[in-house]
Amino acid sequence: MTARSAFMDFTVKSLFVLVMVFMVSGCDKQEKATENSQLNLSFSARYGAVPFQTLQPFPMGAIKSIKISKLDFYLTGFTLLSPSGNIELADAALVDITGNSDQDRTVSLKGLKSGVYSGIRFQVGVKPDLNKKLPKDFKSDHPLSSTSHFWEAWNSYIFSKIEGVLDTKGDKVYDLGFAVHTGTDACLETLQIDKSFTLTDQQTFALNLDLDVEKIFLQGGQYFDLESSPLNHNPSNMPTLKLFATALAGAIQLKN
Amino acid sequence: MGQWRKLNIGLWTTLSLVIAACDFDPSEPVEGDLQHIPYQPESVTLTVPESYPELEIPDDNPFTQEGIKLGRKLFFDPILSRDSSMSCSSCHQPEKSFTDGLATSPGVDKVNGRRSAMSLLDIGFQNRGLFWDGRSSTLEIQALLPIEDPVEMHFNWPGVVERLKRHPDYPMQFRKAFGIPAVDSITKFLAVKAIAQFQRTLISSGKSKFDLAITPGSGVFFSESELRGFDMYFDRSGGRLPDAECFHCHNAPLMSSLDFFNNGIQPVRIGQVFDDNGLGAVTGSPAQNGMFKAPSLRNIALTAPYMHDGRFSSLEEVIDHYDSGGFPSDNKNPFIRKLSLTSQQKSDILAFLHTLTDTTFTKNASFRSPF
Repeated sequence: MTARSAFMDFTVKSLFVLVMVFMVSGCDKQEKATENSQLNLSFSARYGAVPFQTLQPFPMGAIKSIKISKLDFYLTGFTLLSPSGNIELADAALVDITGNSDQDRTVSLKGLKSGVYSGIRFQVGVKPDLNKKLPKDFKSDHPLSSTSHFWEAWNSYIFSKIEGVLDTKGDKVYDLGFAVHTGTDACLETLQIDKSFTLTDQQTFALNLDLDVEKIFLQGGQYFDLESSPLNHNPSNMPTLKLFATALAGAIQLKN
Repeated sequence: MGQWRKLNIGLWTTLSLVIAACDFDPSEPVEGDLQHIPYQPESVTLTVPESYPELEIPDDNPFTQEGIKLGRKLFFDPILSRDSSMSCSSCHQPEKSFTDGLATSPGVDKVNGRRSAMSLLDIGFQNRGLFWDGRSSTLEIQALLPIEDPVEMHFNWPGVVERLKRHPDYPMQFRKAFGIPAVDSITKFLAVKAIAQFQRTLISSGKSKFDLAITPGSGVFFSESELRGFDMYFDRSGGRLPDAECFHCHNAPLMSSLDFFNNGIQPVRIGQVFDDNGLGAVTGSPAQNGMFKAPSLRNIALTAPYMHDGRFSSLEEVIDHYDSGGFPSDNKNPFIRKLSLTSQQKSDILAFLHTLTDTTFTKNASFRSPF
């Protein structure tokens, strides 16, 4: 082999290696890019036709009115729906409708595979495999680390908290405090949002969800009688808690 | 010729002096240089009760023996206050579970603050806002504030740092804790990091009667009265006893939910405004006015007086308050309601609260003054 042909051989081999390196790194980039999308579930709330605000009075029938001081709930078991195969996500979120910022009302699902999806399914509450855990099992920045949302007597997370005061006589005196805390696997509700959307690499897509707070209390065409049962957080109240859990999930829909 | 000789001698002398002056020995310490002091920090793993969450340590402030030692010294040293009369431990005394037994505490100017000194027990787990109003997010940020607060140490950080730099021991301790190269590298940020490291060590022993009684096989049992109190506190009696609603805000294992509540101790003034708006003053949200952090009830029997302003001098008064349901307001926690407990039931809850006393913690020599 002459020096020239040896040089040529070396050059060709080097070029081949370089091309392979570029190809591999190119493929790697492409693969990473497919799991770099974000889906936001952005909640806005209203009470009937009126935008919801914490501690604002809202009518409950002809006489009574209600002020909500706390309204939050867990969402878990997120599943992206796709004809080519659903994708289950490990995320959990605590949506705080009465929180101070929009971030409190937004669930950000990150690191998603880009593509076309037909909708999303999730559970309102904490799904059983997570509900077996304890707040101490999670880092402090995880939504399920909140001891404020765990009830040892139930050995369950508190799936949702709805708290406030009621004016029972229509005299603008809010004299009755009430609370509804749902929990245990029996209160888990599944919700599916059928809406086609496309997740694009490194882009965020927002699904806007609407929560009608009035519907949480308006059950079977009648307002729940909070006066007779102001505190609902005990397993002995399970039928009531299940009613509220179902009503909460039913109050969430895709915003037009 | 004689003149040349004199000049020659003069030149050589000058040259020798210049050379001698330049004869720098790098092994000799220059003033303020600390690099001759070894920097070999030893990492520390703390024991945390089994039922507790993980103690989270910031990446930029890992635990070291040297950092904790320095932080402990700073915590008990009045050097931090303007007239060197107060240290952190003036308001946070170990034997009182790091409170001071006062409703509100006087600062160096003998002016009282408006809020009571909080216990520092398990303070490292308080990751949802420190102070009664949650205004500091981390122990490091929190420790910056009392130094310059006019009703506390009423000094300034440049002054503190100057004192630390001039001190015979502190520069060496900062070097050992943080590896700083020179005295000038001492900063307020390193000082609060050290204090935070020490504060994170203030962990419950997990050996209170409560802890032992709920541990199978410990051989420790509640008395009948304590057990009834326990059942009412956690609503475990299945309706046999009233629900005292305590656990909603003071949940196990920390006996604090770490959250903020309006517990009905203040009447509303106008609208949703209180004498002290607490969390609402920090967040700017009127819906959070009158809300304060639910403190840990561990060692509660040692931390009188109670509430953010120290208004209740005894636990009996506290229980009476919760039994009454407190003042109405729109954001009062709904579980603060008229309970109508009997005097026996109140005594039972009191007995249970005493089982949360952890004297192993208050007697821990590592938490005492190094001076």
